[in-house]
Amino acid sequence: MSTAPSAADEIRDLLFAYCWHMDHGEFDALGALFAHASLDDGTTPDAPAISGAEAVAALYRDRCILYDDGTPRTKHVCTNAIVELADDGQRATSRSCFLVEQQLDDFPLQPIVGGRYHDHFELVEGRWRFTQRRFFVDLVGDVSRHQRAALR
Amino acid sequence: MLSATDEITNLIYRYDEHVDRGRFADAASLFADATVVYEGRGITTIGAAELEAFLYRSDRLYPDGTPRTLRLRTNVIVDVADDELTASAFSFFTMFQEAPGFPFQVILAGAVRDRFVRTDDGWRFNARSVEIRLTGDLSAHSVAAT
Repeated sequence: MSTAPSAADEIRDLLFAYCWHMDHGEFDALGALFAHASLDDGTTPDAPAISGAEAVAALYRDRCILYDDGTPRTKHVCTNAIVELADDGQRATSRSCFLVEQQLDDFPLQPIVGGRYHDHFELVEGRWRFTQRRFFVDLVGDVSRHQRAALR
Repeated sequence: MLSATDEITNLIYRYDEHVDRGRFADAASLFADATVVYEGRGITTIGAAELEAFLYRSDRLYPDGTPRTLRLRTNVIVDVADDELTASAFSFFTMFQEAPGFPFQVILAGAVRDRFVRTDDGWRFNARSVEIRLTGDLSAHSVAAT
């Protein structure tokens, strides 16, 4: 039996699209996911939220180290997505886990960051989109080859 | 509206979320009417109180109030009975930990079989069986290393 993707399926697709664009160094496409959304770090409440495609793309371009193959040499694994729909079916939230793994020629495959995403979505003209992402960094390894600034 | 499968995966993930946040009573309350068996370890809990007590023995808490763990739940297969009154699920979990003096690493991996019943208040856990397949360094995790 084949059925149309559910709201929860489409929302999980957005979570996975973020990981895909991130791991391929596609920061414009990643930013586009946040064209109508804000992004902020819930671990450091004083950090300002940023909004919109260009600001988000610029943040990642500034923060993430890219290698010769044009990627950050990471894998963002996003799991445990608890998806909840508002009664009117037009808004939704998701809480999920993420794990970032990285490998380079001189950096063995290892987990480097683990945490959570708390996301809000809205349904506009039949398509779900982010309205807010708040990420929480919980477990930290060696991020020196991924981020230009320390996470904590 | 969420499908039965989505409601059930939410339930599975809520347990992991509560435990990783150190909310053991909330985690255990999801199993208020359920039995949890840890295969090959002689551990069975019945109801919320016994599971909560087990969590306090199995997961060491750190000053931030959490076990400093991340439970990644993957490969979830949900099978809802035709009458939509019962369901079962199979999943894998991989547990990571980073704690003071303990570098970020994978510490545990296993498989879980769950059974669910649908009540007037929605889907509920009915039984869980946990098979710990792969273990790493549990010295920063278990209160009494088992």
